[in-house]
Amino acid sequence: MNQRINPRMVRTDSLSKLFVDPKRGDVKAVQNATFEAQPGQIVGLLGKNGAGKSTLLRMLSTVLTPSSGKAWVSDFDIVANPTEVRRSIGFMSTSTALYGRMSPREILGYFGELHGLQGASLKAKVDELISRLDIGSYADGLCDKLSTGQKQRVNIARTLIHDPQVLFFDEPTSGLDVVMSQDVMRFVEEERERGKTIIYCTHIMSEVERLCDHIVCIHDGELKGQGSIEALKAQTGESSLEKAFLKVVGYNQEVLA
Amino acid sequence: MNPVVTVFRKEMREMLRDKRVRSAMFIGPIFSVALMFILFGLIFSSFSKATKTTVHAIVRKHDAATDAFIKGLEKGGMTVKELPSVDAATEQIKKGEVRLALDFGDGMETSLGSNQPFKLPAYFDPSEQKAQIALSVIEKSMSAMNEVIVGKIFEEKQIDKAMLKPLSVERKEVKVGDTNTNEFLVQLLPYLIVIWAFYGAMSSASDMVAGEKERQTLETLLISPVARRQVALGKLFALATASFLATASSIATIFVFYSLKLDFLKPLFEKGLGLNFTGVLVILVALVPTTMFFASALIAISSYARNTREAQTYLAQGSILVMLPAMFSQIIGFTDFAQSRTVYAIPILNAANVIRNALIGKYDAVGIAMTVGIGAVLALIAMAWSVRLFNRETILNRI
Repeated sequence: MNQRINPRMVRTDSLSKLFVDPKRGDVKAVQNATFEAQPGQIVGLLGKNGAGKSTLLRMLSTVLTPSSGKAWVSDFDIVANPTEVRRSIGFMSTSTALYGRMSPREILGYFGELHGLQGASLKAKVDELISRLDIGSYADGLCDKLSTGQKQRVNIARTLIHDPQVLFFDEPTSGLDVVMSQDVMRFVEEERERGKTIIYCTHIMSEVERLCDHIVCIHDGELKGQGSIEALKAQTGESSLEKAFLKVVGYNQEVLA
Repeated sequence: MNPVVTVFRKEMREMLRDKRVRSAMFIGPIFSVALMFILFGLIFSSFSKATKTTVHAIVRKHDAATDAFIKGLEKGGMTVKELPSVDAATEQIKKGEVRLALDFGDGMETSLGSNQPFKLPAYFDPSEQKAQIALSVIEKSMSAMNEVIVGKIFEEKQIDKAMLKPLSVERKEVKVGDTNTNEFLVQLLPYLIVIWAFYGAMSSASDMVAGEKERQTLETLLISPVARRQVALGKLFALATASFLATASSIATIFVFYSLKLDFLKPLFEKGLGLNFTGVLVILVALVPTTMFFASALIAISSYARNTREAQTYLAQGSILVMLPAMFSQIIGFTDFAQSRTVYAIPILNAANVIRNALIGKYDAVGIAMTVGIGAVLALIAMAWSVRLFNRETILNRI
C-alpha cells in the first residue's frame, strides 16, 4: 500500500472551467482547483450534486478542455498531450452504459483494441478480467440482458482492460444495491493495493471514510478545503466527517447544531 | 489494428444485430422493390387482360355484318353477351354489373345497305379504365372493318387501296442505349435505389452518435487514446456500408424478380431487363460517393443532436431534401433536362440519372465522371464537417 511509483500522478494548478450558457450567462463550473494525487492513494472529491466534481474529472480525463489553469496526469499535460493522458487513465461512472448488442467479452476486446492491445495479449487480459471480476457465466451473452450489478462489473473490467495507472471513479456506487456497492469498493481498494492513483467522486460519507486517504471538498466549483479525514475533523473541530465537510463548505451553521 | 477499422467493425457488428437496421438495410429495400414488381406486374398484366374482357351487346335484329363484327370481337378474346335493351344496359352499368354495352339496334346492314354510315353507340362508365381499354379495342376492330368495307368500294372504283390512308406516319425507332427496359421501371427504379441509399443509413445514424451521447457510452470512447477523427471515420464508414448494402439489396431484388420469369411480370419485362454487368458496375461506382455523402451528413446531424429523438427529427427533415431530387428523377424523362449535362451537377439527381441511363444501356462518360466527382467533393466536405463537429467539445457534450 502507498507504494510510490511516480509521485504526483495527478496534479492540477488553478484549473478552471467556464461554460457559456445563453440563458444563464457564464457558469463557473470549476474555479482555480489545485490539488495532487499520489500513486497508491485514493483522493476523494467530496461535494454535493452540481458542485463541479464531474466537470473536474472530465477535464482531467480530457473530455472537457480547461478554460484556464494547468493539469498533469502521469506527468502529461492534459491539453498538450491528451492522447498520452488517455492511455494512462481509466474512467468509470454508474451512468455510463454498455453497448447492449455486444457481449461483455466483445466490449472488453473492443476497448482493449482501442488501447492498442491485440492478439494473444488482448485475449489473456480479457480472460484475466473475466475471471477476476467473476463475469464468466455471462461473458458471452448480450449486455442488454444483464442486471445492473452485472453491468457494473463489466464496466469495472472495461475500465481496467489497459491496466491504467490512474483511475477516475465518478459516483461508482450510485443506484447500486448494498452488496454491489461493497464489491465496487473492494475493487477500488484492490486497485490502490496495486499502486494505482485513484480519484473517487462521491457525496456518500461512509464511502469516503472507508476508502479515501485524502479528501478534496468542492462546493459551487471552488475547492473549499483538503486534507486527510483526521486533518479535516481537527481543522473544523467536528467529530464526524459529515459535519466537518458541511463546515468546510460553509453550510448553514444551525444545521450543524 | 487501425482504430478506424476497430470502430468500423464494432459498429457493423452492432448494426447487423439490430433488427431495425437489418430491416432498413435488407428487408426494406427488398420488400419495397418486390412490392413494386408485384403490384405493377399485376396492374400491367390486368391491362392486357382488359382487352379480353366481357362486353354486352343489344341486338334487336341479327344480320351478317353485325354477326361478323361480334365474331371478330370474340376471336380477339372478348366475350360478348346480349342484353335486351339500352335501359337494362345503363341500369346494370350503374350497378357495376356491366362494363360496356354496344347498341347494334336493327343491325349494321340496315344502314350500310342504304349507303348510310352506321354509328355504334357504346355505353360505359368513363371512370372505369377497363371499359376504356375495351372500347379502344373495339374502335381498333371497327377501324379494321372500315378498311375492309372502304377497300371494297375503292376496288370497285379501281382506286389504289394504299390511298385509304393518303397521309400516315411511319415510325423509325433509333436505339440510343445498348439495351431496353420497360419505361415504367426506368422511371421508378432510380428513385427507389437512391431513396434506399439514404434510408439504409438513416435508421442507424441517430443511434451512432446521439444515441451514444444519450446512453453515455460516447464518453468512454472519447477517453480512449484514439483520435476523435478516427472515431468519426470508423462510424462514418460503417454508415456508408449500411447505405451501400441497402442499395445493393434493392438492385439484387430487381435481378431476382427478372430471373423468376413469373407470368404476371411478363408485361413489365417484355423488353427484357436493360441492366447488365456494366450497368450495375456504373450504378455502384456512381453511388459510392453518394453513400459517403449521405453517411457523412447523417453522422454530422447525429453528432449535433442531444439525443436520438432530436436526431430523428432532424433526419426526418433532411430526408425531404433527399426525396425531392430523387422524386424529380421520376419525371425527368418528360423534360428537356434529361438530355442536359446540367443534371449531373445536381447532387442526388445526378446519381438517379446515371441509374436511369444505365437501365437503358446508355453510358455518358462525362456525366458519370461529373456525378462521381461532385459526389466525392460533397462527401469530402460533409466528412470534414462531421469530423470537425466530432472535435467540438460543445457539440459532443451537448446532452
